[in-house]
Amino acid sequence: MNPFITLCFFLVFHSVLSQTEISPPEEKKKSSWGITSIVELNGIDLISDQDTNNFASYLSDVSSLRIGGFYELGNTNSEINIGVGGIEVLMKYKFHKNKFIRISGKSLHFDNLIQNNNYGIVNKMSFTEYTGSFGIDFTLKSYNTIEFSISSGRISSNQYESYEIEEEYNKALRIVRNEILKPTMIYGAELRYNIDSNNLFLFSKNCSYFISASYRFNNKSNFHREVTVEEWIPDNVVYNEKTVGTNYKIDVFSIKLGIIW
Amino acid sequence: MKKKPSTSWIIFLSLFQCLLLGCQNSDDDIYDEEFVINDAVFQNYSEDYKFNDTNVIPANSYKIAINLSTKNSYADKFGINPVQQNKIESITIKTLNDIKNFAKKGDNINRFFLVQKGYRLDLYQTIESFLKKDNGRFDSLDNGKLVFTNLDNVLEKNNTIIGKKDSLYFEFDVRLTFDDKLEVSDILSVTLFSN
Repeated sequence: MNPFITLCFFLVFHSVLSQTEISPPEEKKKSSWGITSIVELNGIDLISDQDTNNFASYLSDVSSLRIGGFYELGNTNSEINIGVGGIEVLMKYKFHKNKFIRISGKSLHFDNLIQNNNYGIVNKMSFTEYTGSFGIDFTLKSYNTIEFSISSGRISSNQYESYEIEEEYNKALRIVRNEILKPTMIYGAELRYNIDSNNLFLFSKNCSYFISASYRFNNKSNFHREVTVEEWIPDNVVYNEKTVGTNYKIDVFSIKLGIIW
Repeated sequence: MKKKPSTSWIIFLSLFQCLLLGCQNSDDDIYDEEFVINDAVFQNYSEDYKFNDTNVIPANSYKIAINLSTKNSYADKFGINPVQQNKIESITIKTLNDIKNFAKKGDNINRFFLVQKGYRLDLYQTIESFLKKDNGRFDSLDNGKLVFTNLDNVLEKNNTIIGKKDSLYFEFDVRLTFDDKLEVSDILSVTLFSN
């Protein structure tokens, strides 16, 4: 069975069990909420084992600044962050003293438009990722915690890039590249360090900071690419390349800095 | 007893009338944002600045620069922003000498050229497409250009007019016709070469 579905199933199963049998009634009512703020840098490398040309390189990063909130009820913590560049929803369930499972969904977008007298570039990229994780946390003497989790999930991306160049002064070329990564299974791990702090500036409420780094990779991907070169006038296509269903090695990394209060 | 209109009413109505008159579109008003092209100047132009003031130009950098002019001072000052009232209906480039086997004296050679509307941010257009899709309007008064492709037809390859280590003398009759019957033309001569 798909590991992601297994984890989702596991989460739901344990939620039901904990609500009905294990958790005492008082604990169910214990709830809290707060505000979160996250800065994240995501990068995707797709590395081909085929011959590459000028149009084939593919390295993208998507930075995102998000603000949101969390709601904690018993052993379950739900969080949503929305902001510049995308949205992330995650739910964490602690089923044992220091063991937890987490599911998350993330959709990030990036677009860049540069135009000046000599060239114009359009670069748009988006990727969507669903992940399920299993992890353990360790509490240090300073009450700071370290979380380590292994994850599995699905990633898909879409990048559109178009740019015009002038060759030999007056011959105009437009290169359009459209790259689609079909949903692909990825596996990886995440390390997160939570720092507890008494208060933040003027806020009397306790807050905590965290920094996390994660890395995911794939086993097999389904990658589609189309490159078109137009010369002089629109629709005068002089070069067209279609690559369908290529297996690319994917590296996905993300570094996240956040504050919760 | 009939009440006389107060002074403030009279002032208000006068100002309102001025406002109405001010909003009226008048193409003859030299301060209006709408303007009419009344002349054009054609010049040999090279993208290679070393050849800009000469009549011997590399074929791969040659363009015919079109400088439109108007009596409208607002358009002269702000160029791009005003609205051009008369549109270019046709662009005709005729050769006044034989061009190898590609064209004979008096032939229309529009197919050798493409239109660059303004500062280049996109591909060029055929003259036909420019007149149809862009209603014959350039982006600004002095940035429109006719780009010499050095090809008999841009959709075909290996039909270069001036081959390597070759040069050719051209004499063009360039003519713009506007939809208000304005016709502007000039004769340009240039020697184009290819290294």
